[in-house]
Amino acid sequence: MRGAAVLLVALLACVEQKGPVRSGAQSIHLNITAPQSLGTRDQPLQSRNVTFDVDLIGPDGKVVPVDRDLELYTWFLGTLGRNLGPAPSDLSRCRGVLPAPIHVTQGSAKNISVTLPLAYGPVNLWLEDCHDPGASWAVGASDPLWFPYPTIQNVQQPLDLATFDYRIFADSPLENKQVQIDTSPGGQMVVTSVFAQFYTVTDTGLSSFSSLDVYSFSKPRVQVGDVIVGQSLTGAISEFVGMTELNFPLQRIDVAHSPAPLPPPVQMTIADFNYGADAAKAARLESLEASVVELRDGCVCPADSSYDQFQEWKLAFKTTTGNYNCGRNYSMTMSTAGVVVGWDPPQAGRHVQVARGVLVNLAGLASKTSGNPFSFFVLHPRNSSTLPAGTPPDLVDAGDTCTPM
Amino acid sequence: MRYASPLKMDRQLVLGSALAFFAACTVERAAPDLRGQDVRLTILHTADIHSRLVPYRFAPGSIDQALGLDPTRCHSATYCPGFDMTNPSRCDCDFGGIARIATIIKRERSHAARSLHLDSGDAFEGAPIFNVFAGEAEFRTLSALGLDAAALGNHEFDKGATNLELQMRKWAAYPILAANYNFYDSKDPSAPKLGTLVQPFVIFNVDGVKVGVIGMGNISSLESILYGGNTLGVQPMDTRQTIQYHVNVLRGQVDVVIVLSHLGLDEDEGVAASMILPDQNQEAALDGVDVILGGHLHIVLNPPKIIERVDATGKVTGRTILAHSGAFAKYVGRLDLVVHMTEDPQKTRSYVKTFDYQVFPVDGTVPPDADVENILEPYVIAANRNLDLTREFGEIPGPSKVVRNDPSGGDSQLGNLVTASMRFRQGVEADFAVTNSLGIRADFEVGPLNTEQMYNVFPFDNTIATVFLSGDETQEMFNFVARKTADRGCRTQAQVSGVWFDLVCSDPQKGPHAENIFIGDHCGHCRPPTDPGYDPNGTCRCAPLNPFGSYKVAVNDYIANGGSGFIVLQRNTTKFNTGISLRDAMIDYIDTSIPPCQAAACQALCPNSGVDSACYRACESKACIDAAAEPHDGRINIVFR
Repeated sequence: MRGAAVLLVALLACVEQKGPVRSGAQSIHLNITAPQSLGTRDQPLQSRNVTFDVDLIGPDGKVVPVDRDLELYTWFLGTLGRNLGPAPSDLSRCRGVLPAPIHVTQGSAKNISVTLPLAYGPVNLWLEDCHDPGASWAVGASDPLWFPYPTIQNVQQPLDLATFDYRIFADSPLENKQVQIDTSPGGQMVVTSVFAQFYTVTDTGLSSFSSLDVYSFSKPRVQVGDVIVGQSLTGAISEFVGMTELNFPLQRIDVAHSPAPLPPPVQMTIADFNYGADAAKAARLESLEASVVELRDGCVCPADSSYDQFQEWKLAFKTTTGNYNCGRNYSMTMSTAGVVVGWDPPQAGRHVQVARGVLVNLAGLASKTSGNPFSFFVLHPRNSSTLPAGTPPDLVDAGDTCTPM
Repeated sequence: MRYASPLKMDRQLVLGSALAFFAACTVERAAPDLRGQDVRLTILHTADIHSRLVPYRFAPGSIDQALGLDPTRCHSATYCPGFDMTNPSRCDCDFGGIARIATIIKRERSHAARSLHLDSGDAFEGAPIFNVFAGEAEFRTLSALGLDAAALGNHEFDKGATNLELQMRKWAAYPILAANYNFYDSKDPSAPKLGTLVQPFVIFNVDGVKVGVIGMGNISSLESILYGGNTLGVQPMDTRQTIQYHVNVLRGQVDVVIVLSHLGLDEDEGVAASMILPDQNQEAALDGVDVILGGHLHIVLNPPKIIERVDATGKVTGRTILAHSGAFAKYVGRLDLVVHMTEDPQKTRSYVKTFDYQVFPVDGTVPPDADVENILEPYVIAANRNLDLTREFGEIPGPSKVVRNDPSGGDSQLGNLVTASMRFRQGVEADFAVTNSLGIRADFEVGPLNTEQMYNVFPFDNTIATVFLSGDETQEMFNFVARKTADRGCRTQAQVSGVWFDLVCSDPQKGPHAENIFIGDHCGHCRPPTDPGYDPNGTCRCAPLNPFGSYKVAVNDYIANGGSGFIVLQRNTTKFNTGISLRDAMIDYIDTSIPPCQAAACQALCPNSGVDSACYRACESKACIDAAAEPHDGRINIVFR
């Protein structure tokens, strides 16, 4: 009995003391040799060419003289990019599927030169020993190379407008990134609308792709006119039915400069929305996503099934023959329910002098299998009480009637 | 047979023990030399498992699908036996399950040099296995898969502090952490002794990398602990002060500091950041927390948030990584940290240089781990036997499921069903009924409705209570609902039957409040003609709320006792707990008050079956919860002004 206890104690003691099996590399030393300065937040790098050395380090702190293939990634805005390119998928990373770009001989590789992809903020090169059978899972990262933070335009504007898919309007180059947004030179990030679950912000220094929808789920903690401190607006970028959103936001308010004057609404006509197969016209609409726009001289259409389903109604505009037309090409979908008092349910024939609001586009594929795209725009007028004193209401009644067709 | 002398046997054993000791100890190596190096530390993270130990049927929405929970992945004979391609929505694709999680944990640990598995709490409550075994199955299976530490969640208290203490003592083989709970040092021998079990923090030496993990329990959802002398024996402490105190203790001893939190997202952000808004605190930012792994809100933060700390001049002084890994056993998160180990701990400290985060969906393509499944099996069999979990009593014919949250933000179909079952229950028969929206935890998915799903949707063992409220008190209660709703994106925080009102989320003069309150059913035409919810067709047969009237109200016993902040109910002295289970009332209501499926619905549900088939006969015998069953009708009408 006593012996059994001793045995138990001995075994327990040894189980406690036993360390994990360790062999091969436990760390990767990645030393950037060029550029000499890695940049700073205030003085970011311009060139994207980088040269570095690699050493595999063992448990004794010395170079492990083995030959290995290493996988190389770049880290920026919260995620890794594969081989300096797009994000790795579960099926390719560390599965030995794709060729590993870095080969070390006798534990070292020298003067490796790469050109970084478009990247923002602090960027780490990330090397890992996970490619070969018997991988050590050792990892190494460079010190951060500093590049400029993205502006709203960098978030919103597709990388290549020539290949922009205007059928689905979902093309943020920073989708699934945790962005930290900076103000453009000379601009201010001004809150332009506040709704129950989201707000919009416009960078006054940008001429296009200047506005962004910030989805907070709960009531936003900002007010219209607030100026957001550069680099303080953070959150994850996603595409929600064609709408680029920044989710789970954090931001700081520049109290000294708030409230700021609101940027003037973008003047538009209903013809601007009939882009057909005109990609350039569609791209302009994409560039106005989440902006405050203004249309004039509309006529309220009778409620249809979309009002029953979504509480949205149509505002008709004049055709070339002078008639207010409720058809798809001449009307704007309006969303006022629960926001603007006195416009629900729609009173057909009500003549609207001015209709302002945040422009939202809803677009995508009807289903994954059908591949049929859909796209339409919705105007969200703002609640007057959320606007600074003296700002005219977003919906102005002309005081007479009209005849929608 | 020859026997060795006791002395000889002892000698052999001692010799053997010594040999074993030294043999084992020969594998011990000196601590690795990590000075100045980058080292991978892998944290596997789960949260809010909520007793979903057994895979369950669930239709992932767009967010879950974007995170990889793709129902089509299991649409094959391999993962979905009996799958009928002509009717894919009927495939019982299931998700979650602790044995699948165990497979992922083992796989990922084998792909990591140094790893920890941490859980952010709320392992309890959410499936029938908890109602039967009170947490035993959760603690046993989590222990079996080698969980290293867990935060203490608010739902761990759902069967009381004494039960939690009992289950921890018997089954939890990992530390459970809550630094912000001060447990009463009661001399009462019958009082729970959680203070002797729950730790504030734990330090791991992961092969040379020292990791300090500070646990933070929830405060916002455990309102009872804010009152002195509460039965849980818990006194909450200030979040920031608690963390800063423990960081100060740990920072000099460890390489990485992790806060394992069940506080909630807003609180986690508040821990990590400062000066988020001018009206928030202007204290110096918390320094020294590398990572926060959170839970409670059931969200996935992928990619994780990177929260910078700034000083009063706006200068960035550090950063914290904040990750949440979902709920209901749907995901396992993997956070790989590149830890730069200090050259000299006396002069500098180690820091997290960069990181990578992935979430792995827990679906039918993940095989269950046999060891964990073996532990689980007797619990599953016993729960099925005790609760008749597979009994089907309803059918959701689709195409839409029965939702707990209506897109309008107002009343929902499932909320209307629940409150109708409370109000019309024999022995209750109230003027109107109210329940908190968060008490309904899931939707009714398209397909057959069985007892197990009822436990998933209504996991809490709540009962129906009645209370008499004056008109003024009713107004006060709905004003409170409006304020709470306004704070949560204007999505109603209560569900009702027998009462209609406008829930004004914003009003420049009066703030959030309720108005145009009518008692009765189908009161849309009682509203003023200018009101968005006005129904011009029909005559008003509802009575406006009389401030001096007295109303019998059915509520659940949780809010009756002040849960979720219903103070107006808590202070009421007319409360009567009927003892009728909310879940039983709902099952009975569906069974008896909702007509069975009609021929067209059954033909759609059983497309390849004749009218004599088992499928068709079963369909005809069950209540049919289609779009006409207590639909959203605007009884809670959301208004902004």
